[in-house]
Amino acid sequence: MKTLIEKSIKVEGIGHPNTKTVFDLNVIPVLSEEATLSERIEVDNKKIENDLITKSNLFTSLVKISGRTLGILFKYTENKITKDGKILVTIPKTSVEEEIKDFIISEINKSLK
Amino acid sequence: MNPIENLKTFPSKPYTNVTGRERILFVDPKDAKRGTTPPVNYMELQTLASLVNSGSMQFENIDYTTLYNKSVNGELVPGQWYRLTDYKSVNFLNGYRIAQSNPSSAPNFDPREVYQGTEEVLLLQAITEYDIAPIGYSETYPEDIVQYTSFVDAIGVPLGLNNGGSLPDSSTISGFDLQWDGTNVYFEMPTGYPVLFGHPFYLYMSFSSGFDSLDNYYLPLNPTTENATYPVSTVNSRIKIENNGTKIILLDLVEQDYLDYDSNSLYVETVYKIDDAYGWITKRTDTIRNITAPFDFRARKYRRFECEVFGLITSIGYLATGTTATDGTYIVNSYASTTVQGSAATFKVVVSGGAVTSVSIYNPGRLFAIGETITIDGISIGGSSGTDNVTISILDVYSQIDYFGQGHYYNGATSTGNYKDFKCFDNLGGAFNILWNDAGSPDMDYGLGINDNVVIMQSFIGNVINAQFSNNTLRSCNNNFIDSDFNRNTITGDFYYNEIGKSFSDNIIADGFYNNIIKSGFFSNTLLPSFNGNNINIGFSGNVINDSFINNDIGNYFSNNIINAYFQNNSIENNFQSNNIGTDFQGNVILSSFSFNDIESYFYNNEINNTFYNNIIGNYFQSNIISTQVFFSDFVLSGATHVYGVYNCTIFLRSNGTTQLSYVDGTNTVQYTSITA
Repeated sequence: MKTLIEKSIKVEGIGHPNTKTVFDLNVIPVLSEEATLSERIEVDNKKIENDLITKSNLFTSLVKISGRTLGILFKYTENKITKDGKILVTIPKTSVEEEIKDFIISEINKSLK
Repeated sequence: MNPIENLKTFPSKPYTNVTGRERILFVDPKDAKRGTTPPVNYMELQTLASLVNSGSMQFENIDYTTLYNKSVNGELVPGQWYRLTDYKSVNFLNGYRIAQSNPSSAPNFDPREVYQGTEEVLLLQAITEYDIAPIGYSETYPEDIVQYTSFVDAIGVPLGLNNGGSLPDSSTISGFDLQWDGTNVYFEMPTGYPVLFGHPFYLYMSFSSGFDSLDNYYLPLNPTTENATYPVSTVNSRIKIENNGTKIILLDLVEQDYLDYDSNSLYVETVYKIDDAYGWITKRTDTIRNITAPFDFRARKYRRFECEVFGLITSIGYLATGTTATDGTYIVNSYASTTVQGSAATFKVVVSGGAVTSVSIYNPGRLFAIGETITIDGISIGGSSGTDNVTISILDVYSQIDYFGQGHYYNGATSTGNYKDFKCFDNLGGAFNILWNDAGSPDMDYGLGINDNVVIMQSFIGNVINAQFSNNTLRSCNNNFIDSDFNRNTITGDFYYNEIGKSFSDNIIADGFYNNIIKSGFFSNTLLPSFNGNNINIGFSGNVINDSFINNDIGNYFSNNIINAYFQNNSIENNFQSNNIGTDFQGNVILSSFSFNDIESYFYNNEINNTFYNNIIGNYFQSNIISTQVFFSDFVLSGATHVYGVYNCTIFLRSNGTTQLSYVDGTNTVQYTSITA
């Protein structure tokens, strides 16, 4: 079974090579009341990292690629082995970033079937 | 004598001018002694201008249009000196970021208004047919050294181009694809939008249904044949600009690439011209005032609007009606709030008998306003969310209204309010209110985000640096926003009311360090005097503070620090270990884990909520509350046994003012005895 690693998604043609998008942000886990100190510190660090990414000059909304045809690079796992993948997509025209993000993930998952 | 040859051998060979007096033509600002005016090892500069007047040098007088055309056409004469008669600095009056985002305008606020400085004569030498030497001079400001780029003739904002996209004139782009003329693969820019030299240029296209791609960044675009600066894609190509920036030839692509090209995949990022520029100074040094900055600070002005600068909370009221909170003292830094700009305030909440008995300001924070409210969730004080909530009202703040920031970028300043236009530096050479990324290249930092080797020997106030700030020397430094790392800098004066987005490391601060916010990591810094009222989220280690350390709020991990004086009224969330404190350690709250510390003198009125062990306290150990396990602690003056026992002890203060220790014996009976028993 092939499983997409969402944080590995890179959008080609989005600009400066160090451009960051919503795919580069850490997923912040919800801490339980019994969370250990190291778990809480890890969450704090992830929040700071996300804050720095979103405040950077190079953080770009996916709306920037609306309507364009470009390559999407990603990694996926298959039988515990990490592999590289790439697809060419035409992004729908929309001003809603979440729609573009969901579209990209959906297209990648289709390609992995 | 050729003065340029003399420059190369400086400082060993001073130049003798026509009058016979010795002068030094060029000095490195980094050689200056800090804190002296004028720098003691500088001698009076003799500019090339006086050499012109004396007839010993030959300059070609040139205006900018002619210089630009010679640069882009490769017609400069290598070695020739040019006297540029009409250079002018240009900048976005409200800063580059606002020009880029282009918010709505207001009567005194045009987001893309360009300020043009007064005319200045520059003395420049060509080193190739296209390029000017990195060292140039100013006839208008003889004490200056300038680094100048000749082929930047426009100031503008980013523009992305692809089929289906929109141009600034609202028309839709079509037919923007690769073409083949029998010899070259090329494309043409939309009419009216040529590429601009001196600005970054980004190019993307895909081939064979996305199997290959060309993803190249040219930084900056210059008149010669250009290689891609970031060759990260499977296909790369040099480009050549023709027809005044309207035709782009991809020199390394062939006909098969054209045939394999995916239609509509061509995407270009360029710059849309807003106004004229007259070349660009990318570095300027004032050798007398000892200022170096990565932009032309002489002629720029920035518009500032009135806004709140401080907003420190000075008076609060509170409402708390719950009765099921957990007794104790809480330092709360997490809450909901109605504040627009306020941050970093903390509050001390005391709960007794399940109810809140007092709420006080622990850290006043900044940028709060009267009338705003803060709600502490009851869970934060060991109670129930909702019923045990504490609502704090801000009754008064320490306020100062001043002209800060740029446009409405800072502190919620309204762009319809009072404003003034400020020069970059004041008469003493202090740097005020600069959006630091609005510097260096005409497109600011090209996203590289590094500000290095800036020397400002005066104040550095109200600046915003959206990137790293390293290896710089400043005097006092306050009310600045630095979004990333601040490291290896030397601050010769006070450092206060600054906000650092990431880490703060390897800096030397010669004076007070107070009321700063550091999001992540304070490491290996040397602070000569006090460190007070600061908020550091995670990590404080390897630092030396030679004086007091008071009223700070540290998130986690305070370790391996040397504090040579008072350590008072601080809040540390977790892990206070392996520190050396010179004198009093009092009134501090440490939520968890206090270990392997060496406190040479008084240790009193502290609260450590969990695990206290392997510490050395040189003198009195008084009035401390350690609410759970205490083991292996080391009290020098006493022959204590219980505190050394491998079982739980509680040390507390009785109502009669005496300390007491309690423990549970083997029959489950609570025993009360002396702390030194």
